Amino acid sequence: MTTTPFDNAATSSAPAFFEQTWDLSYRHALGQTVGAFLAGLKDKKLLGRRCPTCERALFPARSFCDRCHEPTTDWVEVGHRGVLEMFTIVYEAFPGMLVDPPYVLAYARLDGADTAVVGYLKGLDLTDVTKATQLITTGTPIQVRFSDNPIGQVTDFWFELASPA
Amino acid sequence: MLDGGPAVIGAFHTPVRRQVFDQSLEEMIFEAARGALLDANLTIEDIDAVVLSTSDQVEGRVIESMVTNGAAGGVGRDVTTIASAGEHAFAYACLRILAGQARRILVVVWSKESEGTDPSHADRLSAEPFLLRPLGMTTPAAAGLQASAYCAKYALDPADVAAVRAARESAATAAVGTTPVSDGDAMVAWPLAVHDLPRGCDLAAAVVLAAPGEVTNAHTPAWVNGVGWISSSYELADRDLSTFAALEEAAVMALGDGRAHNVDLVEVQEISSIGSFAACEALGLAGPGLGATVAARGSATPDGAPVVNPSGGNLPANPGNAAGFMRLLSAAQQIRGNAGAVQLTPRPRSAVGAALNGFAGQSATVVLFTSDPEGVS
Amino acid sequence: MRNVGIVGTGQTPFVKTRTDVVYPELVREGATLALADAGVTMADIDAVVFPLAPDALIGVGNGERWCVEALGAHGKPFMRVNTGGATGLSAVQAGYMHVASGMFDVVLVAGADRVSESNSAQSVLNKMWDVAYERLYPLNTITMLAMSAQRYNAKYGADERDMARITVKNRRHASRNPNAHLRAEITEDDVLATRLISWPLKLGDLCPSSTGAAAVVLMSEERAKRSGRPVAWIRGIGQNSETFWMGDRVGPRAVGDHADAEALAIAISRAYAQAGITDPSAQLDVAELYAPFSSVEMHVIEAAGLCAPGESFRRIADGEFALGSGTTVVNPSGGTLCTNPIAVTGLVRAAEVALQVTGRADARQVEGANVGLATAIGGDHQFYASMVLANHLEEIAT
Repeated sequence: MTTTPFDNAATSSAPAFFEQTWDLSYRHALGQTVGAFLAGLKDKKLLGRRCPTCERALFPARSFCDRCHEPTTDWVEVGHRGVLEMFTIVYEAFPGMLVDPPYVLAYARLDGADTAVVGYLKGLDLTDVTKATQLITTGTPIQVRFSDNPIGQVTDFWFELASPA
Repeated sequence: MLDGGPAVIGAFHTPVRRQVFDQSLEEMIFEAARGALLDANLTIEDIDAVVLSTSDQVEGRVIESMVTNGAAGGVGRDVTTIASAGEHAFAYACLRILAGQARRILVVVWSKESEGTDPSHADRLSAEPFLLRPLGMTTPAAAGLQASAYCAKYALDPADVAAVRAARESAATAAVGTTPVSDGDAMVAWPLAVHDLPRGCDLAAAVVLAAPGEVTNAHTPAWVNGVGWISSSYELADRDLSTFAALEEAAVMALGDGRAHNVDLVEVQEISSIGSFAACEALGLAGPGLGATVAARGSATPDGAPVVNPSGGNLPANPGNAAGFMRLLSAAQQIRGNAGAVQLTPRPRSAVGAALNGFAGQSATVVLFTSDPEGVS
Repeated sequence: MRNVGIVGTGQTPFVKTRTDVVYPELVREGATLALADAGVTMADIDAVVFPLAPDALIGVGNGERWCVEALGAHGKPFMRVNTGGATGLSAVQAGYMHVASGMFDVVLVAGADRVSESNSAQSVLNKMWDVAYERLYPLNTITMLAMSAQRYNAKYGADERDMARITVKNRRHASRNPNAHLRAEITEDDVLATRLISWPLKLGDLCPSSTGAAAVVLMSEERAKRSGRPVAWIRGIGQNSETFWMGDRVGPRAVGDHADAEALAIAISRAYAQAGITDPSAQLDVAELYAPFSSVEMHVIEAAGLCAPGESFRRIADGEFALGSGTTVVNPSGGTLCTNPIAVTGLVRAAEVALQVTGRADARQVEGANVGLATAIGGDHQFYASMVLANHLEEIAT
């Protein structure tokens, strides 16, 4: 067997990349609580669950409270109004995410809920970010709007300003 | 071996089920964590650190500890995820207690391969991309290479292989109380057919490990008297696949002489029916090529030699990343007298749990449990 | 309990792409540098800890197994830590446990990342979120932290110029660090003129996707002293986690606010308690605080107790926390904002503090640094790790 020293020049035409794609697919089991929440959306109902220990109404519904490490007990229907807790206005398209910028991604806390839920805030003119961000901040009142034909997924509803700009 | 080593004071696993569709992964984990705490007569407030092990691609959750942390009781606590194997999470919890950096640790491990539409797909991605993946290296293929290497070295009696399958199936049937599904004899990776390979299941499991000072009269502890974990090379060609070098070395680390022959039972992970022979040999239960003489040994061992896999082991019930951890849990439960339908009598005083991980058992973990904190007499 | 010290550190230069090495070869580079720095060889290593966050970014499931030979770990105890962005520091902590347990004397913690090898990092990172409730939305690390920044700014009155000052400070620091990824100095106006990504975050507020390797060698007190090398002693460690649900971090019933990093403050308080730190501003000379975006540095400085909540950006505007300021210097390396090789970012925080307290940080050296803090954050601002390092084992003076 003969050996030769590593020759950088000889590798100048060597391939530098190896293309790979992961295409894993899943069928995630939802469990009864999340299933009931999604079913409620078809009836335009927003369902939370209350923790018997801390008594927070956890929305969207969860089968256990992670703070107390206790199962939740009662269903709570939360209101269709609430306040904006935090938001961002996205101007960049992220590869692999099928939504066109600009859009407002927000968390809002709805009446009767102790926690906030993520959703889009729609109905705002986003062409001028400075103007748009003067209209909304933490605490701005919002209302929930449902699609006319909810299909039982979280994008069935979104937020709009309670008092349109 | 371990001075001031911890004890398992609580353990729980969700029922062995091939596919769990009526619970989310997070709900299974919550059930396991709560069950272990209840078994330890503790609440989550008593826990000062949580150790998890995750398998992102199997369940389709990137940095899986994020969505599972709350279910495992991690909120407000020190949480570490040991991603290389469930049994490594156990070893790490032992290290923390030995280091004086936690008094009571909850270790939570799971596998729910039914989340994936093709569970073998995630397995294929765990081969490096340049050579092994294009060749189709998978866990069953690696187990086939191991079995064929063993067969090439030692004459194998098909009756011995059938006896191991039957022993494991019979024990698992007793443990679970149901009739097992038939796996069939279609060839997967010669010389291994479907029924020679571990059968997947969905399961979450947890144990509570406590420092010696936290073990009270209310507990039935399984003391950790030795722990060892060793990796061997990734490259299969660099290993003698007729044996499990990592398991041999982990046994030396955990047991001193590397031999599990003087304990009451062994719960050892098996990568295949044939692989059980080399696993028994690596643990010093039989000489080279003689694993078949001990692997299928049931609860009646006239010479007092250890029973191998009284739970049925992982061949009938293999929860992926939790499969090795379950061997440790099953060994500890025998010491604690909590092994249910497969509890050995009289209650064992010493047990070895042994786990394998990676292609053809690249890494191995061995834990010695005893009923006496001072170890094996 | 045994004392544990960092005796060797190694970092490759961090860059966007490396096409000359495959992943295990890159991992080996960091390990080799740390071993040389510690004056040991792979044969001296008793056990290896490997930091690696999501598998998907390097494209290999359980990629740690592939790296065993590269780290000389065959025949040795080897395990992988993954706490998301906190992984690197959690791994150093795991290494500490290995030695402090008494089972091992010399432990190598070594890893690498090549984030830019996946062009779908933010899509991958979307799969961190809840299956049914959150994944249909473009949640990712950028939008997650943009909302934290919005909330912080609304709560305390900070603005985009305050954030820009942090980028300016860290890039200035990074210009002195040969290993940093983004080393070009930049002005406030330059930052403010960068492309808006996710308001209030602009490109200039964000870390790069970095490729490179890093490692540390840990030793027991006896071995460390015998080595004759400068030692950065691990004086305190602390971790904590908070709820995964960002929506639970708002409103009157929240325990920790998504604007702040209160759970990090708890993690740090655990490390401070062990180390005997009661007055961090007075006792800490240097802090390497994980902050991938400019906005994050505001609340992590506060979580470290270096100023009151809502005060950090005003102090930065006054020139504090910068090299030469005479205050505790925050991120003299340029920090995560200038270099983010995810798997080892937290490890680099500890390595940088180790270099500082042993007086080996060259152009980025904080003069007379004796005591420092390293922190890291993982998940959706959820997993927190911290570590206090000092160049002595005496009581840390106030």
